[in-house]
Amino acid sequence: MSKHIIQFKNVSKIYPSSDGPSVNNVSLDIRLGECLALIGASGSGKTSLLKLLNGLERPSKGQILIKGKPIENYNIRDLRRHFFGYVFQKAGLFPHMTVEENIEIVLRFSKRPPKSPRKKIEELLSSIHLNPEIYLDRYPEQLSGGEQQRVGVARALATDSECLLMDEPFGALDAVTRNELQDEILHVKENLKKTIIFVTHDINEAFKLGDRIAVMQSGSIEQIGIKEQLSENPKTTFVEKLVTIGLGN
Amino acid sequence: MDVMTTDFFPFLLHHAFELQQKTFEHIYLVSCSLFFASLIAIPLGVTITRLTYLRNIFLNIGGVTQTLPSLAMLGFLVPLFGLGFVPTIITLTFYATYPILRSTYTGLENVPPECREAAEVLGFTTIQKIWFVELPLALPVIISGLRVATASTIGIATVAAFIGAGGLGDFITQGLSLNNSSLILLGAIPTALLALGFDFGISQLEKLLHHRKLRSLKMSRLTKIFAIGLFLVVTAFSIFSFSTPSKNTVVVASKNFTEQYILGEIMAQLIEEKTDLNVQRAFNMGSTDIVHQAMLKGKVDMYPEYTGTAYLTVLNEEPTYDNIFDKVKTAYEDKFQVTWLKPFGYANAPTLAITKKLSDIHKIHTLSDLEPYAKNLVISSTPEALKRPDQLPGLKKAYNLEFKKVMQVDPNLIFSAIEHESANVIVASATDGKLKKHDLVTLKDDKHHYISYEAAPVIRQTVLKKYPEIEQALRPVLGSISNEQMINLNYQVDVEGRSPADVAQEFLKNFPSR
Repeated sequence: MSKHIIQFKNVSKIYPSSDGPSVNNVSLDIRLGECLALIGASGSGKTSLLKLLNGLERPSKGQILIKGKPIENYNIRDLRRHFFGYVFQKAGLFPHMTVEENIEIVLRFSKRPPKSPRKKIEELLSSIHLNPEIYLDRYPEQLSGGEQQRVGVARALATDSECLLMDEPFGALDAVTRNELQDEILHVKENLKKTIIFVTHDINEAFKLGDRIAVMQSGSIEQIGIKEQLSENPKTTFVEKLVTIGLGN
Repeated sequence: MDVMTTDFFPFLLHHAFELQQKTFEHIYLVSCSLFFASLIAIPLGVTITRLTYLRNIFLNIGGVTQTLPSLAMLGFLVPLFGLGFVPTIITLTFYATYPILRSTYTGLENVPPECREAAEVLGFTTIQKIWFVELPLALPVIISGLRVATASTIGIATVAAFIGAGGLGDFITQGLSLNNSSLILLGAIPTALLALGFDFGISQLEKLLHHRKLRSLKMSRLTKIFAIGLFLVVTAFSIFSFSTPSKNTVVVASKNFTEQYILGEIMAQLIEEKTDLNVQRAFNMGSTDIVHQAMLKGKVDMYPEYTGTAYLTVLNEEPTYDNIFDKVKTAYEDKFQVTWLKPFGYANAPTLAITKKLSDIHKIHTLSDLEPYAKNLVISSTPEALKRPDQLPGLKKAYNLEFKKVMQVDPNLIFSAIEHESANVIVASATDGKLKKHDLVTLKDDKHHYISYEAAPVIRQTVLKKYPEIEQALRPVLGSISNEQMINLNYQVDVEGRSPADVAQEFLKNFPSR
């Protein structure tokens, strides 16, 4: 078994309607247990890469391997339920369900639903520092953006999936909240040994969370490496600009 | 109005039990229809949001359905399904489906795309996505469509009265045909209140949903329980309503006008009094066709019919001026296994009527007498009589009548025309009670232009064979009701505002041969 949990092999994605490919010949190995930060401007292809992973899109060319096997060999619904935990840009909670129900429904559809979902949900909420007594019965609209995203993380962790996909989860939050949540993610990574793919457009966030950082532009990966490699030895002017002044908001 | 001079309150008390029963019937009809309509519309709505090519077809067809007249729909269904519950539910369901379909579609279209995507990414199946995410989010909009459907269904359900499915429409149609405004109000006011009540109830439900006090997952469980419960009730009732009445019961029917009610009551009361049979009254049937079809289906055992109507409308024969009773009787026995008993005695033919005064001055007693004066007279006619070849057009030819002017008015306004002297001659039926009220005389059809309209009980042969005592019971009145008596009976109901049952009872009490 490979130490690479996920591999992209010369993957391209071309939408018929757009000019160029949104993912252009990407090869990328993701190591078991690492946090890979995927950074790029909007339209650089980083979200497309996530969609290819969870089966919302199929590659036009190339191959994606999960634990060494082509992604087509898996039942995509099983992958979504048990292999990937997904954290959405705007939390993606269902507005008609309480916090408890939002998590319960994921547990209910999993292969091995816990005997006491309520206990499990309480543990999950506590682990991301939300008091279950206060939050279980609240609806998403009664929560702040940061609280919603904590619930989003709890839901992603609920089914004990191996890999977390996080799509600019903290982009819309204020700096203080964002910092707190970033710490939570570090925490999760330490304690639960998850593989994380973290999409962001904030270079500081990428440096803080990423074991490695992949810089994307126009569908291609410009450079991939650890923080020091990027800042001391940028391969392109884009990377150099990125690490010195960021993307700007 | 004469009837309004009587107190409404005792009237209400008198009808309290009936009102309660009709209200429940009405609620039942409406709830069943809405249940079935939702059962069709919501899955269909889900389907058309996914299959875009079906969308326009269903939404457009659905829109067109709303313009079809409900009575026409009923007339179409009766030959297929008989009378009562089933065709009514089909009709009401038919009309309620579109608003729910439309709102289901709108509601689902407005589900935020990020919610759909979230469900997809979390690995929901299509069914789970629809059931746990899309439908709950669309629910407030669906409910608003249900609200629209409920209001219109409560209104349309009043037509159920025409085919014997009961409900508050019974009062309205009885009131209309008896010209009794208290009865109309007795049906109309509770119908309106019911609509308001339902509307309020549903709006509360909407509010509750809006505040999300009902919790989604529990909600779906509730829905299931509710659906199963309702399904059981509906099934039970359907079976119940399909079952034939108990063995010793005869169903006596009538069409929906005064004379028919009175004859129906006379028949029913005689059978009740002189035999051991139970009588179930199915009065107020919307048309000849409806009551005839019901008879063929065995839902009705007997009702009063007119030879002319049977000959022209049911048997579809060409007009003839011979005596048609034997022809009609033979044809009914051969074709329908229905027979005619001896006629009641009078004949309710269409004819012309003039004021007594005019008749006396010029000695006009027959249609032939009218001829020399016609060119100075204005005639008022119903649209139907004006166009039917066997009526005015034929009459004008047969008697060489040329009137100064022909005025076409609504059947209900014919008598007003002569009362206000806008017309001198009117088309009327020979036994209309209002003839007496306005002091009019009918002119004798001395050249026998009109086909004869003798009234007689028609009865299914199997029923007559099984219960020959029915004929025995009716015998005293057969052949012994005169035109004057029938006018008088109609007068008591139409003009004096008494109930057909009372009038029939009094008539039988004073009947000479008893």
